[in-house]
Amino acid sequence: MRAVAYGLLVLACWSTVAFAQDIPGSDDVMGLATFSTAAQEHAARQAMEGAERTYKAAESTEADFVGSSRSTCDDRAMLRAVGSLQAIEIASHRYVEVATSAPLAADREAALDVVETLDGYAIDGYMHAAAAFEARGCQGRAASIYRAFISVYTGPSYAKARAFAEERLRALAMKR
Amino acid sequence: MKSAVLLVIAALSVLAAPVSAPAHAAVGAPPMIAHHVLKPSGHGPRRALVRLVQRRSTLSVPRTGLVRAQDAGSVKSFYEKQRPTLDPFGSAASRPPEGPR
Repeated sequence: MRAVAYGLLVLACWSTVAFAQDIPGSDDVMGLATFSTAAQEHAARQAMEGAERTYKAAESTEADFVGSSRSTCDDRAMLRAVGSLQAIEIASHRYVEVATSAPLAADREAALDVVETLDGYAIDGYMHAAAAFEARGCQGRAASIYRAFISVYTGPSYAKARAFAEERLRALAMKR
Repeated sequence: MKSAVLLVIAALSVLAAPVSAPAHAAVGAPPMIAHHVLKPSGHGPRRALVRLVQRRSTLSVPRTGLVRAQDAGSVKSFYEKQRPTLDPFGSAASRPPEGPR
């Protein structure tokens, strides 16, 4: 039994360390593209870090919004949080341009990785904002987000997110 | 007895190790793949730089080998948007309120 206990403790320590720190060489195993210059990589890092900050701020606003009994559907903080996601979309748009115009193939591939990351923040940001509005009974606001997403994000990359938004719209329509 | 206590502590440690559920989980939104957006590269002369690691939404469709950066057309169509931004409530609704004049 003591051996099992020590084994579990070692496993717990390992998982904590693995989640918290870089494991040397693990990024190579993942085989992700990198930019050819430090400046490009720095800019991409800033774009991704900025997106993460924006996303987390929106997430925190949504949690406050859902948790407060006084919040209304015109909550300015929520509207600003939704608006703030546009910065992520603009950055993503820029990296699509890089992915289609950079002279080096490696830079174009790296740019696609950045696009997928930025799009991930934007998609989750909008869907979570819509879910927060739904949770507070603001069906109109939620439906606006879903409808706008379906009409704007038309590429195959967004098919799954569009299907999710369509499903939510159907669910909202049935509630009426 | 001591082993039993140790076993309980170890089991609790393992259970507590994964990252806790985010706040949005309560509102029925889809989960996402997060964590490790950026990691130190730790190699050679670019040691100080940060290597990019992807973070993808569970609602994103990953690009296949057909969507290669060598083919600008396929990239543009795969990530096609009708406008660069969503703006579901109009820009005015998202702007911070004006202060006193």
